[in-house]
Formats: sequence, structure tokens, C-alpha cells
Amino acid sequence: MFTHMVSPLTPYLPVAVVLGLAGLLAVLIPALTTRLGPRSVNEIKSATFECGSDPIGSARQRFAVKFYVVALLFIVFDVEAVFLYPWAVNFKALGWFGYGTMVAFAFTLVMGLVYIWKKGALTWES
Amino acid sequence: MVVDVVGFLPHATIHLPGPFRYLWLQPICCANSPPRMSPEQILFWVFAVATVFSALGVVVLKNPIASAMSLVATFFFLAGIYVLLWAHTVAALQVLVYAGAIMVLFLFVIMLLSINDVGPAVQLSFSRLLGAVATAALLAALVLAFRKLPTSDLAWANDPARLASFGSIKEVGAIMYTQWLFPFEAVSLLLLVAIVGAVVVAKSRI
Amino acid sequence: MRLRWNVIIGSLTIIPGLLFGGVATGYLLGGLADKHLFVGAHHLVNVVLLLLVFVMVIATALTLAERKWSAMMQNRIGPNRARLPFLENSALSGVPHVITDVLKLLTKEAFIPKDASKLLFNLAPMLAFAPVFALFAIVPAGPTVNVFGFDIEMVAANPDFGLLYLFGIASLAVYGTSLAGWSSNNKFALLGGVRASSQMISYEVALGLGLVGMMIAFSTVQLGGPAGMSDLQSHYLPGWSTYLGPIDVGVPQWGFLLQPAGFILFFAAAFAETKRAPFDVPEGESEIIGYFVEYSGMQFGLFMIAEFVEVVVLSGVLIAIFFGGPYLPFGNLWLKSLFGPDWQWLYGSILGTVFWLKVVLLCYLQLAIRWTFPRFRYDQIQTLGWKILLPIGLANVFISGALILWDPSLKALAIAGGIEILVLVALTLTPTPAKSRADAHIGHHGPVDEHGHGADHALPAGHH
Repeated sequence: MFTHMVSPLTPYLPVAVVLGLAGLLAVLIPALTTRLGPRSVNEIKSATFECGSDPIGSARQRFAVKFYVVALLFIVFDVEAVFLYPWAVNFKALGWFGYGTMVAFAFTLVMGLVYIWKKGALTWES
Repeated sequence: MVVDVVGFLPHATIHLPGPFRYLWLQPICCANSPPRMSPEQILFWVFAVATVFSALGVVVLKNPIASAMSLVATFFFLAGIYVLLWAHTVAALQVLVYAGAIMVLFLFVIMLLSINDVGPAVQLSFSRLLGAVATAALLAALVLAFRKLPTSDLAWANDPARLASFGSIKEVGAIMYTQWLFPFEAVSLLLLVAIVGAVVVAKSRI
Repeated sequence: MRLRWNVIIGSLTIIPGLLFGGVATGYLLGGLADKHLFVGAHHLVNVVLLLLVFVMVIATALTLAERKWSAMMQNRIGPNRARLPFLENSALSGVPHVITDVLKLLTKEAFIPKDASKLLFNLAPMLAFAPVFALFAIVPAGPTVNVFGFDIEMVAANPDFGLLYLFGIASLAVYGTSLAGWSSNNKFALLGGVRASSQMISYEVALGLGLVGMMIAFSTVQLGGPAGMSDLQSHYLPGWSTYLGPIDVGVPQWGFLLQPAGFILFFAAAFAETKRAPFDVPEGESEIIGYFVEYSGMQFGLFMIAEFVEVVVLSGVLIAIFFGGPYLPFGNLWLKSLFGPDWQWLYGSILGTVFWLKVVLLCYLQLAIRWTFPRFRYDQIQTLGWKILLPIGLANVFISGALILWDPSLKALAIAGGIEILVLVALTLTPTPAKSRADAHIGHHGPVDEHGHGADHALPAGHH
């Protein structure tokens, strides 16, 4: 009937449609509420909500450095997990040799995990 | 003159029946003139322009968190360009690692430092000059590399079997854990250094 | 309590009936789209049907189900103000709340607090909702069947990188919470936002590690398609199947049997990602309200609906990977053979209904967990993520990997999985000594009561 030379990009058309639809909905729904809802601005209503007391100082405080350490550890172990996915797909083809390479890779990071564990970076009570 | 950046990519023309043909999937071609613009090329320009503008936003926006979000958008559009380059897996990893992990750390740092809405005033200093020189050098290197790009189609451009598997997660893995084994193992050391570094820097506070 | 048979029978027919009708419509429309538009157009039909209709409708129904269910567990009546005239005293009174809630949220003023950064404040709920909504795209909700001469896959998108799409898009939801917390210019909101983002990233690693065992076993990261995890689970373990008359029976390759540890890891981590109790420290209604404290109207509604969409998506993903996707544990071949080549869409619709029924059951399980377990303390959450789930996840990957290399037919893995399940059941059934019960319950305020299990048992697998 007609020639088909399926482009490898074809599977990504629905992905693009889904992402576009998600973005569209996310924009439209709040836009609707600002159109339908009433609008009146006054000093007390727009004040920061802190259970009725007047807020003291700026809300944008510095917070504990622990959160930053957690974020950095997350990147490290996320990258490790990312290396696991292509390995998992080729796992049976790579065989015991591939198993060994990943054990070596993970062992290094497990040493890192042991180090931060001993240093107490994972302990939150303080 | 239009620089045919994706010209060296394999062209796969999709022929579709029905109304879809006239929307965007059918290559736009002027009656008989040879330069055809495939959908990939149109999409490339969409992503390229969006990348440049969102990258400009990172520099121009006053609010540091808005800058960070603009950088997330840049990574997203870059991922789109990776898909056009048949590097599907790299595109997914780009979103997963850069947009989903590294930018979270950036955001945390900005929030941790409690930088105000308005960033510091721009002053001319030695480090800034150095930065400008480095940027110019990078641009020059990119231009030089650009001129060396092949202009003809790749040898396997019309091999459907090769096209279907190229850039897939299986192919990437098959190469990474055999041919590029040493760099892969070296990455673990790099990550170990990052772990140790984070703990050493923050140690007194933990 | 008196069993209301009319309600039970009614819901047992109406719910599967509605689901069946929806799935059948999807297959037929997909076939028509492929026939008249272009091959592959059924994916676009699925985008609308699965994401906009099924997921959104179930998520909206869950907003009511959660309140009604919690009311039943707490011996209250629950939402019952907006009621239908002929259902006043039935269990279904309150159903119109699904609509009235949306109307109420839509007609409320969405105001922006003083000193908030407007752009980011408006952006945050969008970033919380959009990624979660897009997640379901790769989950197959039915088998691939031939309709009008075209193979119709009941999945919105089936990219080569499959689960990486899930992880990548899911990781973007962190921005919604952290931006909401930071841009509100409210100390509670900032605290909630930081807690939420830190919790979400802490569990993302375990989320990925939990699925690596299944990726190894099936050598794929795709969920849909003929080589995807969902379809591979319809096969039996080689040699462990037989026929009972016309019906095929055997031990199916369900992820739950092969990888119980992976299932628990993934479920616990994903549950933490949804930020629902017992992982609801970022919200903590009684303490800090959460990162969305300054939001009103439908902007708050977006955060709320995102949570329920997440519940549905999590159920769908769990079923596609660990509970056989749309397939029955046995008799799939027999069921397929009942229908002629022109009626394969009926076979697909029956299995599609099975998929959505499984989703509804898992949604129910998640509601039950939310209203049963006390909230973890923040240090307990971080300890669970980094010190328990991460090491278990790494160990699971390498132990499962060795078992698969040793016996590629996956039987060794299934035996190990069976042992793991038995151990878990035994641990759950063993009564905990009173002393360690109290120790395990540090986070629980007040005396330990009858339903107090240990913290190690806080994972749901042993219960159901």
C-alpha cells in the first residue's frame, strides 16, 4: 500500500505526546483556578502563614549541611545504579567476567559506603 | 545559508497516510529543489533554539533558583537532541543523571547557601576575565571540531538492522563493559573520591 | 458487622464491567486508528485512554476512597454531605464528593503569599504534577492482540530504554517539592520541602536497585512489547508446567516469586517517594503541614492529585514487573485459545480487566498501609533508606546475579525466592517478644498497643 521505512524515532512520538500532554495539563489546571476563583488581595491574607503568629525574619534560612551530604551521596550511588542498568541488560552475554567487573566496581563504592557509615554521615541523631 | 548540522545523520523518511502526512511527519520539500528538510531536521532546530534560549536564561535570570530550573530545561532539550542523534540511552541517562540528580544537588547548594533573590552584582575581576578567556577558547575548539565533522552519510545509514539497534541500551552496555572496561572501572574510583571529599568537607558539621 | 450483599455483589459486577468496557473500547479504537490513520496510531489512542481516562479517573476516585476508607477504619462516617437522593443511607453516599471537591478547589482563590517568588511559586505545583502524570506511559495494561489485522499493544509508549524513562521522569518530581518549599517564603514550607526532597533522593537509589534483579533475570529494561517484562511473566518456568485437561498450569515467572527482596525494596522505596504515611514526615499534618502549606485552590489540588496519580502509577508498575502484568497465574494459553482470530480483542479485554483489578487491589493495599502504620521519625527514614535498603539492594543484585548465571533457566532464582517468602511469612507470624516490641517502636507515641509489629515488619509483603 505504501512504503514503510520505520525510523527509530517513531517510538518517541508517543513519548513526546505524553510529555506534551503532561505539561499542557499542568499549565491548564492551575490556569483554570485563577480564572474561576475570586481574587481579592489584602495584607493579612497574603501574610506568611505561621499558625497566627507574626513571622520573625526571613524564611529562607540556611539548613543543616547533612542534607547537602545526602544529596552528594545520592548522586554517587545514583550514578552507580545507572551503570548497573546497561550491565543488567547484557548480563547473560557478559557472563562471569562481566559479573566480576561489576563486583570490582561495586566493591570500591561499598568501601566508600563503609567509610561514610563509620564516619557517621548516615547517622541523623545529634 | 543553512548549516546542515544533521546532514551527516542517516535520513529515514517516514511515509504516512492520512491527515498526519501534512502535519509534520512528512518531509517538507519544495517542489523540485534538492535541499529537503526531514522531520528530524525540523525537530533539531526546535530543540537547538530552545536549548540556546534556556541556556541564556541560566545566565540572564536574576533569581539563582530560576537559573537552576532553566539549566534543567536546557538538559531536557539536550536530551531531545540526543534522541535525534540516535543516542536514545544517552538521552535517558542525561535526564536521569543530570536533570534528576546533579541539578538537585545544585538546588540544594543554592538553598543551603541561602542566596538572596537577587544575585551578587557583576564586577570585573581576574577570575571573571579568566572565565571569559576559557569560554572563548572552548568556543574556538568547538568551531574547529565542527569543521572536521563528516559531511557524507555514514556507511551504515541505510542499514535498517544497524539503525534499529544503534544507541540502544543493549548496544551501549555491550561496548561499555568490554571495549571501555578500564574507563568504566576508573569511574568507581572517581565516585569514591567524591564520597570521601563530601565527608571530609562537611565532617566538622556532621 | 452485617455484610451488605447487595453492595458486595453490585461492586463485584459494576467495577469489572466498567473496566472491561474501557479496555475493550481501547482495543477497538486502537484497531480503527491503525487501520485508518497509520500503523502505530493506537499508541496515541492509548495515551488518551490509559493516562487521561483510566489513571485520572481511578486517581480521582481514590481521593474519595481514601477518606471513606480512613473513616471506616476510624469508626467515623466520612464524607457524606454531597449525596445522591436515592443513595442516602447506602455505602455509596458521598460519591458526589468526587465532583464537588474538584468544583470547590477550582472556584477557590489561588493566592500568592507576600514575598514569595511568583514564577517559582506557580511553577512548583506544575513540576509536582507533570512528571507523575507522564509516568504511566510505559506501563503495559494488557496483552498485545490482533485487532482488524493490526497488532495492538496496550501501552502508551514503549521506548527502548523503558524503565530509565520511569526513573528519569520520576526523579524530576523532586523539583516540585523543593521549589514549593523554597518559593513560599514560609519556614514550615521550607522545612517540608527540604525534608521531602532529601527523602525522595535518599530512596531513589533503592528504587533503582530493587529492579536490577528483574532486569538481569529478563535481560531487558522494557516493560511492554514481546520481550518486555510484562509479557515474559506470562511464561512458565521451563519444565515446571503441565496441562490439566485443556487448561495449562505451572509456576509462572512472576517477579514476586523470582525477586521477593527486589519487590520489597522497590515497594518500600516507591512508597517513600509518594510521601504517604508511614513516610509522611515532609507533610506531617500535626507538625509542619508541609511544603504546600501556602498553596490554595487547584494549585494545592495539583499536589494532592499528583499523590493519588502516584499511587495508581506505583500499583501499575508493581503489577507490570512483579505480579504478572495483565496475565493470570495459569490458563492464559487456554483463555487465548477460546477466542477465534477475529475475537482476540475479547481475550485482550478480559486480561486488561484483570490488570486494572490488580491495580485497584494494590491501591487498596496502599490505602490500608497509609492508615495502619504510625509515622516514622526522620532519622528512621534516613536510616532505613541508606543503612538497610541500600545494602540489601546491592546484596540482592549480586546474589541474584550469581544464581542466574549458575542456572539461566531461573529455577534456582525461583527456589531462592520461595525460601525468602517463607522466611518473611515466618518472621511475620512469629509473635514479637514484648521487650523488643517496645524497642522497635521508638517512633510510636504512647504505650505500645495490640497491633504493634516490629519496625522490620513494617514492609507489607509478609502481610498479604
